[in-house]
Amino acid sequence: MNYSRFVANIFAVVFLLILSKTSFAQQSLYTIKGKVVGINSETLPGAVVTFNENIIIASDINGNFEFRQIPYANNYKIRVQYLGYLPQTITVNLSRERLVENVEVQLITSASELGTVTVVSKSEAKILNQSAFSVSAIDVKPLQNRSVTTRQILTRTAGVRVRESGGLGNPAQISINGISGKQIKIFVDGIPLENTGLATDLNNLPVNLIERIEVYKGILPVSLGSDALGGAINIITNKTNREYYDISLEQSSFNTSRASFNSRINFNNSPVFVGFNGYYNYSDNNYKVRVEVPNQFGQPDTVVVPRFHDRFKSFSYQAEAGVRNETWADLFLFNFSYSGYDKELQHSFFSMNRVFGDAVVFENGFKQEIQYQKNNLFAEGLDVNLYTGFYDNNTSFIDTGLNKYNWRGNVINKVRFGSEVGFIAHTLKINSINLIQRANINYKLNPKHQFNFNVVNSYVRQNGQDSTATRLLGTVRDLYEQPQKIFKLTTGLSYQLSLLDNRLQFISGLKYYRINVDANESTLVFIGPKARYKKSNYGISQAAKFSFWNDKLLLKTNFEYTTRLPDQFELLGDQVFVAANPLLQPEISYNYNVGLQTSFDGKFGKFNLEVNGFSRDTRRNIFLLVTNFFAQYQNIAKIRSNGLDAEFTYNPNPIILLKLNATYQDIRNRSDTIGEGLSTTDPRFFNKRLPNRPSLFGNAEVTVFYPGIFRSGDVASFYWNANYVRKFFLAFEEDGDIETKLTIPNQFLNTIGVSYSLPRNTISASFEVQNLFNRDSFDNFKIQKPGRSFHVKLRYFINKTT
Amino acid sequence: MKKITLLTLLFTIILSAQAQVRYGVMLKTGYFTEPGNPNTSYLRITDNLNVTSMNTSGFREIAGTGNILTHKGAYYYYNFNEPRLYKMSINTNGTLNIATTLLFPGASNVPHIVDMLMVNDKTAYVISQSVFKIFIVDVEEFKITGEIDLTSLEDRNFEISTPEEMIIRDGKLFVPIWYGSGFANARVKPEAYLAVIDLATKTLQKTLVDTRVHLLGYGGSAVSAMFIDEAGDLYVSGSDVINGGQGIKPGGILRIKKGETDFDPTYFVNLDQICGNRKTIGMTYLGNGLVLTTAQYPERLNPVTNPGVDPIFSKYIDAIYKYWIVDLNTNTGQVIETDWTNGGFFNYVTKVGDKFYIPVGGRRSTSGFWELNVQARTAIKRINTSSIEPFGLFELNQDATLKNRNTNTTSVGKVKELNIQTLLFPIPALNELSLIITSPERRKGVQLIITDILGRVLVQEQHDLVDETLIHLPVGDLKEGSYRVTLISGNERKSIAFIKAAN
Repeated sequence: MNYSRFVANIFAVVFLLILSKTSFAQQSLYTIKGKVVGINSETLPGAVVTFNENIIIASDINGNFEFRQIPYANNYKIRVQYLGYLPQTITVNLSRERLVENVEVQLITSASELGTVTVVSKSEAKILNQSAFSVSAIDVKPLQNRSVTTRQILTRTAGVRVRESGGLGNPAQISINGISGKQIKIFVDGIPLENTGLATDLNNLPVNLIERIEVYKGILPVSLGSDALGGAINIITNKTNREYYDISLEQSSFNTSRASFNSRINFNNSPVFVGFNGYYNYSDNNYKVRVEVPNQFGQPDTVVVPRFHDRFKSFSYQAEAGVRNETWADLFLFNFSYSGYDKELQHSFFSMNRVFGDAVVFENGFKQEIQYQKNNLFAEGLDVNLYTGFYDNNTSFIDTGLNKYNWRGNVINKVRFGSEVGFIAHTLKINSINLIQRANINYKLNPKHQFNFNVVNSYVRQNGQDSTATRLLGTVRDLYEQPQKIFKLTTGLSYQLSLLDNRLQFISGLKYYRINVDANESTLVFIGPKARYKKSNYGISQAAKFSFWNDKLLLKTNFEYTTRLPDQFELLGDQVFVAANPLLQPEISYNYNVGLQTSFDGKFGKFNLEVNGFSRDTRRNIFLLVTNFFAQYQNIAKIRSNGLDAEFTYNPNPIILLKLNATYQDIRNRSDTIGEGLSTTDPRFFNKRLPNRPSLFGNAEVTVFYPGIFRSGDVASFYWNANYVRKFFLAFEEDGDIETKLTIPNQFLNTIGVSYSLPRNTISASFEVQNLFNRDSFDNFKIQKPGRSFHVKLRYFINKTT
Repeated sequence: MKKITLLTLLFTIILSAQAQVRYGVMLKTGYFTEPGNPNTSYLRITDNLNVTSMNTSGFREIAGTGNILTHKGAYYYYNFNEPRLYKMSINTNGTLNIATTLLFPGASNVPHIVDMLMVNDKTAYVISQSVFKIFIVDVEEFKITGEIDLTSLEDRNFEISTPEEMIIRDGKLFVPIWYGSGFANARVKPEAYLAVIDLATKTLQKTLVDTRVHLLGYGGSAVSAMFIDEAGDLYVSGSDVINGGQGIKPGGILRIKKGETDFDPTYFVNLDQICGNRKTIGMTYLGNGLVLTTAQYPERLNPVTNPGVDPIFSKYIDAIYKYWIVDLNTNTGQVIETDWTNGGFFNYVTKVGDKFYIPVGGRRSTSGFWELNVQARTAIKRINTSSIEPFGLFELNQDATLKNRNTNTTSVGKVKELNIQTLLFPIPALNELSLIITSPERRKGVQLIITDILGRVLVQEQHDLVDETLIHLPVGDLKEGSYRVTLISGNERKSIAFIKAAN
């Protein structure tokens, strides 16, 4: 691939330049402004504030303090002491985005014998939320003691819906403001999580590895160099420089175990560090489902039985080593990981009618990554971030079962040949090699002007073998022996203009997308002719924000014309159920957002309100066209979704947090009438609400904190979460008698929990009950999710520098 | 209960021999698919085919697509994506409810019922795909009561092997057997197989093999592959469309003469050749040696509007078929100039009364139920379904035991007078009518329907008739006007008109 070589050469040149670099330009100077408050948010004048152990000032009559003329750096320490309160030290990491950093330090009275303080600084999450992008940044740290999964965190976010088709390890579909499935891109630390293997699925990542989740609605920053259609999720992993060990164990219903281990080890004053991370997930997924089992006369008896072939296991072990804060690199990191995935299949993807008892999918994969970061390279404000990753995954699908099962797990029929999932027996092994490279260069000319250049390219090569299917089909050549290749390139350039002390911000972006496919147009039966095609497209984006009243009211709007390139699975299928379609066209979308944020802090407490209006106009949507017998991805529709999401948080006092959000989306078919076919282009469905998509959903959550419940410095919290989804129809609302419509019913699910942590959060424990009232739970038509489940989680956390 | 004031009721009783005919309609839509949302079917009963258009309003929604079998007022449905047989109940307004279901063991990767054959009013035979058994079903009790074992016909090298359709002649059950492998039967046995089962002993008598054609039967689809003509000869057809049109064998017809249980070696009709050397599928007997089939025109596939679409997939769903009438007396054929229709074997060709209706579902401007003029070899659109695919039209009270049998001499759709005597008299004090029925024979599940002057069904009940049966008719809520009580047992019926008037 010429493009692959070209981009690889660019990477090599940039690396060489970086390694030969010896000088830096002069740096800008920054200001840290702060406020000291008590537990009830009362101002604390005269507090002693120590900056980096050598500058001491006192807070003024309003509790404010300020340090000026500070060079750019991370890890500034500010220690605050006040009579009658416990002293506290916070760490401030400056951002190049702002010359003025605002922090707030909340002290807790020593009389109450509390050993911890709540530090409220302007976090990265808050900074992102106040950017011109429509983004919800979720601070995961407060949730790390809970038995919560990444999917659950996401589905509690305004505008986001995660539709699951089972318990742990089962597939899920994420939608953001009407854009869903593969149209949503997942990133980990800015690197697209694509073709990285089943074990690295979003839900497998333990929350203890995650510091923050950024949910981009609509426009993506150029620095996230990928081809999302109108939404993305960026998982930010823990990035602390401190030495720490974090171990968590969770045991829950359905014989579910989750464990994670994260660590970073420093060597005195050496810049070298190493880290070991890993996780292990296991579940029998034997939750009970309400199904029909025929008696001896074939008459169906409704029974409640456990799922019997849904066991799931995944793991990932990662070792990393690197150096940091050297003259030539802020960070230079190698890591290597080995992951595995093993999943039994209980039923087909689309219904519970077909019960499986033998079919399995398993996978193992290696991943090697190199990452380099350097700020102020060659010039002040020129930051470079380079990444290259190599993934090698081997996936197996074994479908040779000769037994036919009912939902009791009994063999009701035994055949002498056959399969459960596919049309014929399969012993499929697929090898997928993926090389991905990313370069991000950010240049902040001055506080007003900033440029960002990003390039991501990926190369996938897939081939495999299925001797069983080949023998049964009687074909001369194996359907999978031909290597299938996909090359993708996404590059972009953005310019950010900040005015009025960053209260007015404009961000303009330009992107270029390219895909080269070299694959066979194979059906489920035949090896088709080679298809080679190239597609490219451009994208533009524009975002703006304006804040009033000392950032208490913020307006933002953004627009994007974007492209999503079809992915590996859409193009190549699995040749088991999904046929290849290498001629798929890229999807395009016009995305619009208008947002408002406001917050007030008064005698009745603090509240924050965010409202986001959105519109998505997507073309050439890629759908999995499903028949009763097989499926294939095709470009078949235009869709327009308009809607509104809103989130309201309220702190009547520091120990109570109330959070409400709701999303309304109106997703309609806007497909052109093409010819006279009886299909998607049917004018009868023009501008009709798209079926099988919820229109209204929301969440409520109340958390109550009890600091010092047993001893000084400990914290207990009690929480309740409710999730609501309004019923929706499987097929177009316009068809059929309303009383007989196939419906995914209203869902109202409750979760309650309690967590307790010792001082400094060294040891914590939580207990949680999900689906408290044991309601039948569905995200998809007649595919039941788990009922009530109990979760216990223990966490041991040592942070050696505090 | 709505209260009306009536001083007296005056009932005029008029015996009428005119019978009401009801129809089951099945439409299909939902090409807008995504995971969990395959095609959707819509079912309904209607009394009136004298309409120019039809939509899904008031139709029952069913996930997926399937087949319908109606028999003497009973309505059965079976889906392509689960081995479940539905028995539907019919509401007064013609909508359908699921009364009960029956689950069959499955053996294929997409288990479903491939054929249901009514043996008599009480018994049906059912085939579940790839299960080498014939299930015997008591349709009154709605339970499986037995099975006929065919496991000796399994072949481990062809995992989509399955019994297909069924037809009974002279105490023998004839069942085509498929031997295929892979999607669209990519690899098949190049011969035709037909099992002959002795119904007296319910055992496999023998298996016929013929090399002139392959893949006999179209079980699981809407079209038939077997019929018995006026002379009692049995015909069975195979198709090359089933395995993607690989050209292994032509689509053609074999014959088993009356009184015999072997293929007639002197008889073979190459349907593909007669239909302009096009792949054919489906065979509906029109009488007098005429057969209706569909032929495939793959050049109609449009790679421009559907780039990258799997060609096999397109051949299943795209509008690339036309109907042909083939005269088996002269081995000649003629295309019927309807518009293009899709999925040549997914739509029912149905005889309603003395008319044949053919569904045409290719383009919005032409899709609907077309009436076939057999003699003129023409068709004209009678009911427009616009963008909804017409799937099938079924006479509710037909005798399904006569399906595919000698259409000139059997009375599919012909209504007979129900042999009962009735006496209708008012009871003003109770604000109701009483009906005394004298029946020379006991009858189970006789339908009683009260309709208004517009034919709208107001009351629907079922009764078992003994020698003398007294039925109280709930007419208290009826306004003044003319009504009709109809009693239906199979294809026999009797109507009684009455007038309700305020005095």
